[in-house]
Amino acid sequence: MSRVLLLALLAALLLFPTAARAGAAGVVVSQIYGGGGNAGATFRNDFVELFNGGSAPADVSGWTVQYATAAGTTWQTTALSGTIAAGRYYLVQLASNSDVGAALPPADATGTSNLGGTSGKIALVRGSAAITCGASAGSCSTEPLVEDLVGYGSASDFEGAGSAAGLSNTSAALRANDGCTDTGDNATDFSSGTPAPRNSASSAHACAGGASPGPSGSVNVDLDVASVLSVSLDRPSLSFGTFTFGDRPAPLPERVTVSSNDAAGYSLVVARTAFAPTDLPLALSATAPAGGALGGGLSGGVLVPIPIIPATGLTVGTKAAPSAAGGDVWATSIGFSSSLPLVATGRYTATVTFTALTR
Amino acid sequence: MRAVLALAGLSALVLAPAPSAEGAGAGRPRVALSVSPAQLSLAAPASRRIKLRNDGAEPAVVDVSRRTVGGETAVKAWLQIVPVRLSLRAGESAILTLRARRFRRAEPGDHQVLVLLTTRPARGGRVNVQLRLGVRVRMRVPGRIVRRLRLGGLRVHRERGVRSMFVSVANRGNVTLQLRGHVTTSLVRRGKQLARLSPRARPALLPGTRAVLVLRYGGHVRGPVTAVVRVRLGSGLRVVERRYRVRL
Repeated sequence: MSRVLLLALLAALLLFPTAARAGAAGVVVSQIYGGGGNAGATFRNDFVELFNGGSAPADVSGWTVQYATAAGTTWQTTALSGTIAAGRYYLVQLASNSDVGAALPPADATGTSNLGGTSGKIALVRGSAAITCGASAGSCSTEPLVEDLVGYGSASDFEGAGSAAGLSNTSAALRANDGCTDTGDNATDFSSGTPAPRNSASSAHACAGGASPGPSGSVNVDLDVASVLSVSLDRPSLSFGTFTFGDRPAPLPERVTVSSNDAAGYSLVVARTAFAPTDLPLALSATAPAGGALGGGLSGGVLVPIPIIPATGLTVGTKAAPSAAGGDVWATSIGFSSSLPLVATGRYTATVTFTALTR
Repeated sequence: MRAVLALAGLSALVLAPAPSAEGAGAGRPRVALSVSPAQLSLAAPASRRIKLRNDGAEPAVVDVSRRTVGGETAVKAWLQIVPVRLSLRAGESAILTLRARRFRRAEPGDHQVLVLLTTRPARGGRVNVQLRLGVRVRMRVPGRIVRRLRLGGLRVHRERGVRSMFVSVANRGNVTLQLRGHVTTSLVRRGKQLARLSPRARPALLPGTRAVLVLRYGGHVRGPVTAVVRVRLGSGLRVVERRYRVRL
């Protein structure tokens, strides 16, 4: 029912739009060519092509396209102006080494940056000041004004797992699907291909699932997503059977699944009551899900004694990020840290409590 | 673009929670509980509601309790929760109401309470297992707000090509300070910035608590440098800065 309500809310927001506003998000670097004017070059000038894959016009006045060498952190800026319509391209013409190669189509902005022919870094920045990042992978991604970053060849910084392929005098870095693909990984979003510069007069391209380019209205959709935390067990109780002095019952599995959308992550703690009338050495081992970190002493699948309430619980693990979409599975096993001591006959019971809380 | 993807991911998480509360019980875990929001802030006096849902295939009885954080035992009495016990059928939801009262003797600033939602254990096994969800509640008492952060010493750990620097921070004020996104660090030599580092730390620092910022540098610069650590205490507020002379 809650899902239906949420969908209804989304539908209502779409049907009753608030004031229209041009959005800047959605502009990416779609093509880079650094061989301009070099021997055998396809084009006379280096260029950077931008693409607005969003559904609203993007005002890029005051923005800059910035270039740094493969290992450098000194950036050269080229100022942009005007607006890029939804689904349209924007051509930034840069330096030329000679008259070798064909002339570019009319540029929408012009600069003097001389791009590396094989390697370098291009940043699209929502501001005019030169950035100073780029010394190591991921350093520019934390800059709040960097709208998009592309490292190519042996660049020291890039988005995602790796840089785009190295270029040549006859090849450009081309963002897949005519500029629509943006997974945040330069290595997979870009491929090397024949340079084909497009400017604001070039044919529009609509990304799949996006609005058709051309005259359009825009709508702001606003939604507050509340934090949610859930935890589940696959067994509400564990029975070890009948044992006697000196035995060590085999551990039993208990999968604990935690779902959290909090960016700060969560922690999972375990504690227990004592067995009555005499306590037994109940213990737990665990393996962490992807991105999770096991708590103290649990690495290597070791059985660690479970503290007895009111003592501080044993931290099974923590995660400093939201859980996976289907929840994080902490595969635990509950057993005994040593052989059973000599105790009176009878039925021994205890309660184990798994506690999940946001960090 | 990354923000849009992140929002889509979060929305997907909320729209399609792992253990679905609706529909048939097939495939549903036997014991499962969810709560939203998982943390909240109150400026006393005020009230807020949180939603609790039994995502399991079996009925659940949930006990509600409070626990103070940081030894402030009196704080527990400021927060009233109704109801304190719930019986939920499989897939059923309920609303808890939290009311923060204002006490005359309460000191201004943030006070923390943990609201614990605990399922009653099943009976019959030798070892019964129960679930507990903790909801962090921050109550802010009006008055003189003090934001004070102390940057402690820096220690360098050298391991192969990576230099890890550990900086202790202490919240000496009376309100929670946000660290995530508010800390910037750079390595400087002779006035030239060599690198900017992204520190790892817990997202927020409660009043009277400490934390450690972890700065990792994988670059090639070695020898003496100055590490500049800056913490912005809030939008438009002052910046705490400390410079450390370190050898990489």
